[in-house]
Amino acid sequence: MVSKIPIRKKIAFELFRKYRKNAKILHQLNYIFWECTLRCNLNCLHCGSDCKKESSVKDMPVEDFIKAIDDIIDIVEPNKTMIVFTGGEPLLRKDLEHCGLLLHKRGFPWGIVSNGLQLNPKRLQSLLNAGMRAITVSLDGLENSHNWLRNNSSSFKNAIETIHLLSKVPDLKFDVVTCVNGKNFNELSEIKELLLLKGVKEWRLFTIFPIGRAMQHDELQLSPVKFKRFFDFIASERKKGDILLNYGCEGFLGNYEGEVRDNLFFCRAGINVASVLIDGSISACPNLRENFVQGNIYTDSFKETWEKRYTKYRDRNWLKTGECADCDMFRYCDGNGLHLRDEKSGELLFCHYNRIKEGEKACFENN
Amino acid sequence: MKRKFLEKHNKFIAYLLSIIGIGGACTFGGCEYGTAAEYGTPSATYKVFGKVTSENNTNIRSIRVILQNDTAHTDENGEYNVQTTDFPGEQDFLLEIEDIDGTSNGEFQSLDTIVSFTDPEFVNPDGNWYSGETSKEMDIKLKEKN
Repeated sequence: MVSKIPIRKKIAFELFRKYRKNAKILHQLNYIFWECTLRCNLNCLHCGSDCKKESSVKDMPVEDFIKAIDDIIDIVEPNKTMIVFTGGEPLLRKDLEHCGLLLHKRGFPWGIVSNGLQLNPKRLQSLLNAGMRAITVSLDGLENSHNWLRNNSSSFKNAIETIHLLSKVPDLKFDVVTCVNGKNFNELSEIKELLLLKGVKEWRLFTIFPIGRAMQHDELQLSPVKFKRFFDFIASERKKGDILLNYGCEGFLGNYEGEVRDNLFFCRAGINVASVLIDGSISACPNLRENFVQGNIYTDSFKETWEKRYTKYRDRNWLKTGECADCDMFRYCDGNGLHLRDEKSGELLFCHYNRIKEGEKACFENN
Repeated sequence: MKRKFLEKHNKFIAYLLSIIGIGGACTFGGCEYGTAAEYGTPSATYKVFGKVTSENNTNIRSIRVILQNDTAHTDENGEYNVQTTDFPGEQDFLLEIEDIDGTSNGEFQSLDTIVSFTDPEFVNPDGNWYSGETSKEMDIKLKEKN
């Protein structure tokens, strides 16, 4: 049962609660997103759940981003601060290597999140030569379901080629991310076999939430029963140990904590994670926009913004409303991932813990 | 002071969690739609060594040689060793040579020169992000001050 927490885990939750409290006071910045472009070579069905894409928005000049990085350099340890280029599709920018080298000169590791469509051996070598340390590529199912979600008939073929290419690079931190939905749910075991065949060692799974464009497609959501079974799948596959499998960072999972990912749930947005968005907005994860924005690199100091603002990220008592108000788990989940809150009202749009409980209840009733 | 205390406290909590079998509890595996965090940067050691002599081939001791953040002084035989760490690949480094001991050992003009590592071969990599070391011999001739 997701709500029955064994004593050992309860002790861990209590200890981790203290850890989280200290981390909020320390708020050591060590993970920075740069939304370097909103241009994209795909038109995915689930996109828009995370950002409001406008292709007319110009890419931010590298120099503007580097200036912001130079502003915060004395409050971070560069070699312990990961910088991630995201988008849009970052590989559409031809000057990523230029930016990467400038970051490298300052001691920062950097990585990209890509759909893999634009990656070929030459570009990969160029990125590696510029100091790229990590890359995440999306694979959202077997051929039909991946191409359906990505809205592109050759996307699967390209993603597989990219995965094959990346798995041969010995020192690159490389993982594959899959957004699990109603269409690919029954393919998870086959996807895993495919990834193993291609030499993939790390696989991260996410679920899609009814936010933005994803709201228009019911088939993207997992029913409560499937949602529960999804976590059973991860827990069981992790025990086999043939691939490093983790659920993403996104929600508190009750008794599944400690079973489906390496770390306990902790939304580090604004505590360790910041972002510079396409228009210069300073936020946390790139999908935290509107009221979550804390400043702008064109008008504010990044360093001062990080040190003096972000109050709503570091004191989350304001989230204890609605279904969180009387929930026993609030002390451990802190109101779930901030990206699951309405950008204007702050209302919780999705609770993992309650959804799993619904699934358990439905399973019980069906038996 | 408070910061140090909190950092140590959190390290202790991470240790306790590992004892009760949730060792990775405090790790940060990356963020939604981000890559897994991989800290540190690719690096290699570049070594430069050689001999500093006068125009009539006399070894000069106590000459200061600077390569980025490393400083050395030539020994009795005029020999020096300096090294630096940078991104693995082709690199050009500035080597600064200066006579700083006044007239005691003859007076020589300072020299700034470039050490180029073209298509370097690295040895002893760690199998991870450290590519290993490479070295280059660079003998220097200094002109006497007039």
